[in-house]
Amino acid sequence: MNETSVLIIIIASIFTANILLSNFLGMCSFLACSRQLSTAIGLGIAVTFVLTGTTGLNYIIYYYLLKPIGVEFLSYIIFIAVIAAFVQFVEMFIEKFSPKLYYALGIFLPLITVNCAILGASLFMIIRKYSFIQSVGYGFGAGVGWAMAIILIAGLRKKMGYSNIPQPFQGVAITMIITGIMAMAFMGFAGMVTM
Amino acid sequence: MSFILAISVLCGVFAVLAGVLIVAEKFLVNYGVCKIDINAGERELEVDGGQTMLNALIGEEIFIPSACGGRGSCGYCKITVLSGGGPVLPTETPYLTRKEMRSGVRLACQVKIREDITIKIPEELLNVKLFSATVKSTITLTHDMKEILFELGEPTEISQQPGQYAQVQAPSPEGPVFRAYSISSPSYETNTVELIVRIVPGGIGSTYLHNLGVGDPVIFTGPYGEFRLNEDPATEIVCVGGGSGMAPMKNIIYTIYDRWPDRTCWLFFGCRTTDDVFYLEEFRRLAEKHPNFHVIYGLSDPLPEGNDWDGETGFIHISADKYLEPGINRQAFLCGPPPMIEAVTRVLEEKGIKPSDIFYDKF
Amino acid sequence: MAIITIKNVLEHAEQFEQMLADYYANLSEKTNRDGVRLLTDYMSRHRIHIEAALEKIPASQVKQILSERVRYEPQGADIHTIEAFQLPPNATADQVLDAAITFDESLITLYNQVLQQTNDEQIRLFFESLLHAEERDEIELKKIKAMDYF
Repeated sequence: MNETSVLIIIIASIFTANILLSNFLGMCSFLACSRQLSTAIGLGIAVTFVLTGTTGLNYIIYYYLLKPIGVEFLSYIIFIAVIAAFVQFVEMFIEKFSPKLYYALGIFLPLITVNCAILGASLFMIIRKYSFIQSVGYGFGAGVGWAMAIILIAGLRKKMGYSNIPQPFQGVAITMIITGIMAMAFMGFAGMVTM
Repeated sequence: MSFILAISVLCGVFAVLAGVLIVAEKFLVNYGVCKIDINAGERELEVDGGQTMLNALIGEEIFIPSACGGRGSCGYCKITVLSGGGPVLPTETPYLTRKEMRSGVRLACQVKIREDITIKIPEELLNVKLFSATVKSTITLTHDMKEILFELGEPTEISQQPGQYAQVQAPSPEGPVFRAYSISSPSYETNTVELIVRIVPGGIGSTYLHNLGVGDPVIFTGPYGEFRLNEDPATEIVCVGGGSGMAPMKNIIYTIYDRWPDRTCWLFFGCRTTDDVFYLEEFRRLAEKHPNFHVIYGLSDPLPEGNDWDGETGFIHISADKYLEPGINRQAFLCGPPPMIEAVTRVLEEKGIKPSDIFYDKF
Repeated sequence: MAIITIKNVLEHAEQFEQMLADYYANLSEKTNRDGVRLLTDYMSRHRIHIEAALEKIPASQVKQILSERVRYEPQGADIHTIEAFQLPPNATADQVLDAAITFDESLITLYNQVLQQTNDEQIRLFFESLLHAEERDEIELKKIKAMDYF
């Protein structure tokens, strides 16, 4: 069992081990939806919510179903199915009970069913042998970190819209470059906490 | 043993998840059948709730243009939603101007049908279909013009009016694009579509069409356009084309003489040199069969020495001015560059044709 | 490079339109080709129309933004481009159209310059509409050229 405190895990997964900037997971929706600040915020919150939910759910399934039976190798495929079902369910749920929240967040949910950051977090939680509380904390922290990265990049891209970018760099190319620079900047936090 | 266990665990988990979703769907997203009212009662659809507007319309064979397939990344599928449909979503705002948002324009792929909805879509889209076809023949008309005939595959028939156009899908470095071409085959030929295309250096559509060979597949949508031929045979038809503006005229003329063999029709066609002249022989043969059909071709460049050109010279509005007597009930269809349209319109109005009876392609 | 105000930009664009209108009108008078006369007459009236629109808008809509400052690089709507195209009286319609497309492109450059430099919503909306009008005009000219009538 890993002994790190939950608070440390949360802070570490936001800054030093940001799932997007250090593992480069979830790049697809990161690049596609970071053109507008409001979209980025909505997507960021949706990812945080789904990450927190699915790590908890996958923890239970892994330790109380797969492990006792001895079929841990099924975890990949089962995690993906659980994530997809969870996203679908949450989408239907908030669509029914809070149309307002649905219009703010729900529309982003289908976009993140296949976001690899979400599967990534579930797999890390197994490898790092987190407890349940630690797993949920890690899921939450990774989500917040991902949201922060996409919001930052959306702000930068908005600003970039007004600058004169050489043609070969326009679009995804320059976004990849600034993502790289941002990742290097975040490495400055590395000594702060370790997980 | 462990294999059987693994497979049963997998199936069990999937079954539970599917079960949860089915139950959830039954209780959470059941909108029943919703009504879509198009263009104030012109068409009323009854569709299952919960799907997107784009899918519902395509299911009813109303083809809203869409290049991305409903992912909200092309911004082509704009429709006007008059009531219902919820607020404008953040996924749409990048593609809408403020003016559009105020007047209710939405992206059809982002509007979810949860209630009865009233929408407005351009009239012409109600009849538009997506056709797949193969090239049946290509004929070189002049040094830069080609006549290209498509044989329709799916659907097998097209119902088009003279003056309407089709949008042909052509490949480009940024993905497929659509380019508009007037349909030149007469409207009674329902299994084929013919286009007349001038090659434009660097033009995506014309280069693609000129390089097609017999048997090549093509995809196009249509028919578009609102021109309606006057059905009263006593009304004379005046067609004026310039440069490459021949395709709609050919359609109009053949359709007219199929339906009213004695109707009076004038064709004025202006181009620069004898090298640019095409279809003249064909139209003269038609004029022999139908004495009320008058063909006038005009060349605008000065004739070289020793040329045996027997048509008109000078710009085509001058020829129109020369031949048409004033005060006859007429409908006119023009096709050509805006300065030509302007000059011809002036002549036609002097001859007493009402501006509302003069039609031309908007550029 | 110079720093000028939005007001200067608009005045400059207006002056450029005025010169274009005169240029086409002049060409229309001098040419010995009927086609070029028809074409330039049309284009001259079209430019006067745009110029009138430019003159009208700033007073009512964007008065408060006129003093906003932007950098100006001389390749945007350079008056000298017009002077450089001294077409002979026997110039063909294609030559005239090529010149007209070049002029449109230089106006597009000017409006893009302003758009690249400002974050102000109002200025952007205004210049975007100018830019779109000019881009549409360029497409129209290219289509006229492609129709090969004149």
